[in-house]
Amino acid sequence: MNRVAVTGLGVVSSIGTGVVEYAAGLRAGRSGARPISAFDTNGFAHSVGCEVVGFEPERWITRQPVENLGRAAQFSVAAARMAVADAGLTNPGRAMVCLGTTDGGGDAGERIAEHVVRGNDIPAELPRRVPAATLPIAVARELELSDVDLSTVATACAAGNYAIGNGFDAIAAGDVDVALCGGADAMCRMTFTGFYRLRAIDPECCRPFDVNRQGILTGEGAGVLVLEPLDKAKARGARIYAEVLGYGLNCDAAHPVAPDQNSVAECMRLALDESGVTPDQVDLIAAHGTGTKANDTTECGAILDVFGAAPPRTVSVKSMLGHTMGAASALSAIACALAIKDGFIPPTTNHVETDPACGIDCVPNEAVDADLRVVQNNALAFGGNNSVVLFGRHS
Amino acid sequence: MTRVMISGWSALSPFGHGRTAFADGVRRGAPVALTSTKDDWAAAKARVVPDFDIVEQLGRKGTGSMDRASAFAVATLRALQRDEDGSVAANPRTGVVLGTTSGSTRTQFEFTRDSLTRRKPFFVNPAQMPFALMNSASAQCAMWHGLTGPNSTLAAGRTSMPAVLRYATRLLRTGRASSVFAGAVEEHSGARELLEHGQTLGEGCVLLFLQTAEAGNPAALAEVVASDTTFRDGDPRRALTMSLRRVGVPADEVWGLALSATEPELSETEDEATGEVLGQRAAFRPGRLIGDTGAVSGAFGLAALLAHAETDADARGRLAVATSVERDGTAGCVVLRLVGSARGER
Repeated sequence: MNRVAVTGLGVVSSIGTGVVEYAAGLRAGRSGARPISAFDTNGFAHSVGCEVVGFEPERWITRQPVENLGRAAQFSVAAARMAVADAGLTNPGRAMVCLGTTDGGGDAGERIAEHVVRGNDIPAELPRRVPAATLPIAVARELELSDVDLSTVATACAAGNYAIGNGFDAIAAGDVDVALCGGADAMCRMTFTGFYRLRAIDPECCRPFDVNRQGILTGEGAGVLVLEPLDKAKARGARIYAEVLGYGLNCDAAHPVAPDQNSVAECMRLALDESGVTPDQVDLIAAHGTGTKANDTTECGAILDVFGAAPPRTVSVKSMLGHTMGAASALSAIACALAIKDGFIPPTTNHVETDPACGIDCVPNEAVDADLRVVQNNALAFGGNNSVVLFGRHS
Repeated sequence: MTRVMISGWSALSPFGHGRTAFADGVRRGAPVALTSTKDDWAAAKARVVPDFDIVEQLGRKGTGSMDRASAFAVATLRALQRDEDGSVAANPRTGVVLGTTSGSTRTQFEFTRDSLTRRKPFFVNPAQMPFALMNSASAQCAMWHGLTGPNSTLAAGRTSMPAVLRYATRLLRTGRASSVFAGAVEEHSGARELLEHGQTLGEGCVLLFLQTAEAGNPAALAEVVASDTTFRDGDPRRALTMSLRRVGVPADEVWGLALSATEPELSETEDEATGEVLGQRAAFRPGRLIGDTGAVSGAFGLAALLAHAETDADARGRLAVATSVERDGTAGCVVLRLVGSARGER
């Protein structure tokens, strides 16, 4: 079995595009929150989200018509190209592209539905943008990858971690030489409206673990990690951000939207066991940390169950990025890799008073320097799809 | 390498409910009659699963907002557990892996329509939301059947079967799952008609029960020898020949071939590619009988092979190949070694 290294990172996010800008954003506690412009927000009392602004698809997409790609596919291409360049990969060999997403091209689907509702013709390019499978295909086309294993993992808001896990297994088993893994999603009306209806959208900002938290902000973006066998990465002199130590997968098999504390705890234990790590060796948890009442208490309860009364510091990058759905755990995983490499803990921003029901140190508002050996990345999804990935420092 | 075995399967198809209805239908070889359908999105003629009312099938609890695809999957999994008479036994590490194209397009479109047309844009049905997500069918399978193992959804469209089997095989070989319900599901609706290219659409669900070849596991119908996908931009023919060559199918050992494309041009491509690698041979084409079932098209090919093998002694010990192609240049194949007419062996 190969050990698995993270050697490249690519990011499109509301707090910065490119790994350097993203890392600076995490350190500074930058906020991606701004009024939503992706769809008509008339009739909603509030509509703040974390949109990517100033994205120039033409900069990244040169080998296919831009209009054939939905926004999530465009983000995917950009993040993948950045990740490959960051890794200094010239000849990827037998490759895998595995991307997670919640909505795929669902934003194009919404436009189709709207044209029908208003009695208009459907523009020909819209149906082409809908299938979620277009995300990795667009990447493969742009990178001119042939002989490539493409897949789209559609496990909602945990999809990024699922994709990283799949890449980890493929590299470990020697099925592929390089895996481009991560997740992408674009702002869409459906997610915003659904969470709004559930009163789970915060009117101003996302404040995970805070006693006055009011919910998520919907966001968008993409994160792609390059995974390679550790030996090969070392042999070619690649920069190694971190090692993927292992991961856990399970399913609540209980409620469609409410997370289950025992099941989430079990998923963390699976990840720790596989990684050969004991709870006391974990230096930081990047939580799913959506900022909803239910998520944060349940997730923290599970953390306390696994780690005891003094758990590692536990942060949520969603305080800065909003909930980027299928991209969320990929962007969080990239934050983990950067935290290990650069020796810092990204803060949980917008924080005033920690909810006693959470009972964790969320590193409020200011990044801190830290020597991190093992970092855990949590992801929970509607449907009870849990996935936890562990990253370790390569020394 | 750990061997992965199929120890049972079931299907909901335009031929009817359950494995036997599908097996009888493909053996008879007559196309299912077209049904006129109409909803708020489009009118169409399609080959649909007959007599499938969600509440009749699953009861009222938890089904008020359920999409048809999720109901198909939950019902198919139930049938698989019942049909197989104890050989399909789940435990807490049993997983579910399902293929889809875009989930329930109809649920997504209805949710959007409600937001656009009601007095307030947020007067939507929140209970509908989990069913609008692509992971709904696999998550519902877990909820209804208490399956707490890895639960995953791959949006691979028409190449779902090889993609799902490759993923499920990884889960078994790494020990992440003790067994896996693996398959694909697709529902028909006017909303889905708006996204497709004018083929006669079908719908349904196929689920296989996968286990490793460990001692103590029940007798298997077939071994999954290979599952592979690849991509050649805009060249599905080349992609499929590459995939078949990579898995290395010895042509003289092949007993049966199932092709999945229904669109004439793509069907020709699939014929040419398989002919080039495996030689010209007769093939099962369930899509011509049940319509373009999207993500399930490859799984129905596999199910057709398993159904025909049941009644053909020549199949024993030989290979069955099911292929998948998509116009964009993704393609893949699944290769099974048929253990024999296992129905008789039990």
